[in-house]
Amino acid sequence: MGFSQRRRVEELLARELLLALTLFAVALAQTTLLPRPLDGAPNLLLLLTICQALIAGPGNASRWAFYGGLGLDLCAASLLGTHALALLAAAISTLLLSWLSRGNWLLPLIGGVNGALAYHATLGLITSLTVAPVEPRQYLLVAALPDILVTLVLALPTYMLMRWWAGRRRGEVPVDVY
Amino acid sequence: MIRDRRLKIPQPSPYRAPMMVLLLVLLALLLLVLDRSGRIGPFRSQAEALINPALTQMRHLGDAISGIGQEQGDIEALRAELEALRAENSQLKADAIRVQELLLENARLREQVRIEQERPWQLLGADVSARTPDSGRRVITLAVGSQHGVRPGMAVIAREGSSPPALIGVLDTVGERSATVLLITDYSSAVSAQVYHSRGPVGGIVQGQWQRGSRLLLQEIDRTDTIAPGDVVVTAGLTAELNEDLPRAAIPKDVPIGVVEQVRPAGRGQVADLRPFVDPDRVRYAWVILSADE
Repeated sequence: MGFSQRRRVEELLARELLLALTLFAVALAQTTLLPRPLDGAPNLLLLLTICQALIAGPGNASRWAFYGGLGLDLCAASLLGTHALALLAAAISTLLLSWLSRGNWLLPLIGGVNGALAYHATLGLITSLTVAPVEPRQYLLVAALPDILVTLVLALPTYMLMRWWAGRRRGEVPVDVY
Repeated sequence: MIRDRRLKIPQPSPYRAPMMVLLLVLLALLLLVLDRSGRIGPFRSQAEALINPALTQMRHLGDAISGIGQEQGDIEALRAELEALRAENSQLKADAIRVQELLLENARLREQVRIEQERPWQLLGADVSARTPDSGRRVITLAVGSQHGVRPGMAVIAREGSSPPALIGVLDTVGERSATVLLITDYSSAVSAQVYHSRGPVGGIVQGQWQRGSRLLLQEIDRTDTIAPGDVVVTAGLTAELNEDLPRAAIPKDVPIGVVEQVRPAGRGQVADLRPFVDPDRVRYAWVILSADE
């Protein structure tokens, strides 16, 4: 391994570590810091994962899902991998929307609902298998529906912000094709 | 040589992204299984021990942020409750005053009924609403008037402690809703009175003495009549016949006035100092004798 290649690996690792730490901080903030109006805290990591998957693809977003999910599991004292799998499911679910243009404003809305559904379906399934059986209707009404609504409300602004940020990093000129 | 070199742009493998997703899913599943079976318990405990202080601090901060709105809500709720309690307190105070009034009214009505049962009088109770501010006359105002059926000359009685219901004055002027009472202690008041004895009643006139530094004086008593301290003086019901300043006097007979304290000769007759049963100056509630069944 040459010097430049080793340096490249180090940079890659440092970047991954920074990403993991950032997402862990987000998980920490989500579980402790966010105010809870009407007990409906916004699921930040779910939002970020979905938006990242819509912008950069599920492959890239799966890293966010994994790191963020592990952070949530550590902070929320749930079995390691539970939230990671649920977030991964949300990221993968965006594959269903590959036919929609990135510039279409419906993409984050449909993606938000689609991803939140996948997230809660996975979370409910894992909880049923590892902790206790979950009554689907109750879970949908009490846990999933409020979360989906909050995600739906915040999906568009979060997506726009992240897309603007990603474009700025790449030096893109924002030209949307509708 | 340069001509033969081709620019080679590295193309990412199309399988890279799916492979990464698959790898992470498998890794997460593995972690789940391991954690469930308790195989990574020590690692997890150490990780939790590391993050717990930060978690606790941030949770306190989160609670404080959540508490801002909650405290504001609490303050609003407390203010509303305070207003409700103030209103309730005000209502309870008004009720308490009303209860006191009713209790007093009840006591007065009971007293009136008892007097009416003991005596053949029909009474009308009234509060003393005013007193003369000057020392020239001994007059009080009652909160009843002509619309209640009272008229000048009617006797006004009151009760004090264990005393019998006794005369305190006579209605002087009567308005529609108020009436003034000339107290028996006033110098211009003269009421026919008598003292019962075994040899027959002893008559006289009770005159007010307040302006003269005393209270009541029984005068016009014949020198031959026997009268002694402790004798009870009652009305004779003859005021109208004596043609005094109250021509329409309607004072019934046998209304107690007071007790003889001292007897002394005066000219050709004798006079007696009386102590009234009721001090008219301390009366707060009185009854007007509307009629008497003889």
